[in-house]
Amino acid sequence: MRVSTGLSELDELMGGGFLEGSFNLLSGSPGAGKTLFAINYLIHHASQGKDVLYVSMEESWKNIIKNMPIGMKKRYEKSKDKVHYLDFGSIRPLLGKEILSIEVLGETISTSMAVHNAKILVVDGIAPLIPHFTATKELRMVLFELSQRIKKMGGTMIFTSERAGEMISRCGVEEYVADSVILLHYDGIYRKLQILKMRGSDFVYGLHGFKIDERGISIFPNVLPKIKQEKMEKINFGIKGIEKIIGDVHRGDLILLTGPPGTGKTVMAYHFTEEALKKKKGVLYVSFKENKEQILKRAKDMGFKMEGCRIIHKNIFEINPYEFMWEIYKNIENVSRVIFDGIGYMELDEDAKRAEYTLLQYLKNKGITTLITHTTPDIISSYRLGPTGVIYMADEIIDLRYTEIGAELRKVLVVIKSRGLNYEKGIIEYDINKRGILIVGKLESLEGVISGTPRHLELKKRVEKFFK
Amino acid sequence: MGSEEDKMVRVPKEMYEAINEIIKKYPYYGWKGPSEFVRDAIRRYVKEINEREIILRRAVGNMPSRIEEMLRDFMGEEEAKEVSEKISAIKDKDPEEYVRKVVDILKGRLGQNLAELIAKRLLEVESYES
Repeated sequence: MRVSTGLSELDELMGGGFLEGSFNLLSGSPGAGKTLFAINYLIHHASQGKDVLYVSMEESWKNIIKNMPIGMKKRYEKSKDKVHYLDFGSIRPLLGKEILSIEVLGETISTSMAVHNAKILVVDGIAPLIPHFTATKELRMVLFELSQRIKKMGGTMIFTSERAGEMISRCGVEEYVADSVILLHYDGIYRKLQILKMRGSDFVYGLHGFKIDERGISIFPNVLPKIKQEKMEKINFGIKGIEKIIGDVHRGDLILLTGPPGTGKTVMAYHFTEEALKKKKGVLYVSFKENKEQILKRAKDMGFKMEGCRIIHKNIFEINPYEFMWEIYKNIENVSRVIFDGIGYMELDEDAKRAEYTLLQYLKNKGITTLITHTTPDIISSYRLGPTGVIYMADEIIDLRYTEIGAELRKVLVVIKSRGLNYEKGIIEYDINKRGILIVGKLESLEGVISGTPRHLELKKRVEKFFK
Repeated sequence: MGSEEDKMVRVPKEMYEAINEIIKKYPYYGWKGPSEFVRDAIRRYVKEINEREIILRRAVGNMPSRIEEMLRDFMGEEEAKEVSEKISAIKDKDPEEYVRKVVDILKGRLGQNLAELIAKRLLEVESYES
């Protein structure tokens, strides 16, 4: 039997939650959210009508309630008659260290469990126990004894411990007694969670995102639900004549549009969006530069009809990778196309790379066609196509460039890669007019276009002929 | 010499010799002989017992409120009140019996060890404060 951790996403990662009658260690640095996490576990079960018990060694219960996020406090208020507590910190000044002996602690906790018929419990902050044991093996024994007492009573317990440096727990023994170990990381910006141990059951490895806000705790696993791969069907991009150039585009393809500012990447994204909307298909437009109003106004000014498109605006520097991944996941129901507009060059950490790969793979399997626009920093002759992970996964890569022809800065595109193989190998000139992208044609009489300073082939031939 | 109203009390020979030794060793206390020493000792002891009993009864009288105050932060207002009401209902005048019943009530909620510890500390605290 499994007992919920109070967070359904975490339950999934742990194969259903804690084992019934288990002793579970929650360890983390100060401010990582251990107490809130533990309280959430209690409130979850209390709101389901179960009596629960909180045992504090340090922080007062009053303080904990005062500092609860609003959402959690509301849930607590509804079920507070089911939440019982023993605040050992409050009686320590009068009763002294004797109350921290295993006899007193163990007996008091088990008596209280019996009085309230509480099988769900938390022992928060075991640090005050530590100075009373000269050797770590003594502490290990005490924790083991406590765990046995509680297990005998049928209790499923979380106990929290503060991390010391790189050690998993304060004394380095707690994890040996525990049936499961959850580690909370907090670097002052992002919170991460890691399951390190789960006795007798499998779990999802690696770091997962989590967030504490006014509503409480949210978990963002580093994996998305498994799905069966959708059938491949041809789709239209939405720009007249472009299918002949980029070859066959299928549902689930990942298209990368890369180029310097002003080459029309966003306008192409509007075409791509409008094409799906015309066919009553849902579109999710994620912009990293403009907000919803700006996007709609700009699109409207160019005559695009974007009504009905779901738009999300994100600051790329404030993205928590797994949280972002799950936000997208929750917004793609009935969506056939997703656009990520305005990705710039950024060093990605391991979590961001993993989230990027997981999300793009999921969209691919679900048959959602994804368009990513990437802005290169150099105006002419750039060979930076975009993020390595995206290049690797992309089915079509379209490189947009400026080139100087007849004292004019003109726009050209070249297909770098296409799954369809039947794509145009030549360099195509295009323009942006009031109604979007206009394909002009192939630049057959020029060479060196990619360098940004092309030469006429005819002139070259004449020069060659002259020297012959 | 004693009067008609005086009563005789026997003490073992070793104790009598010990009293004589003390009288000789600490003459500045002014005991004129063993009889005066015994009278002084009894007077002091009776006073001490009476004072101790007063403290004990005061401690016992304050116990329901002290326990409620302590348990309020420890286990919550309602539960503390419930325990305190049960303690207030104890009718025993004998302090020892009273404390035994208090421990019994607390034991049901907190276990024997913590119940005894709380009762013991509350009595100690009261005597320090006195």
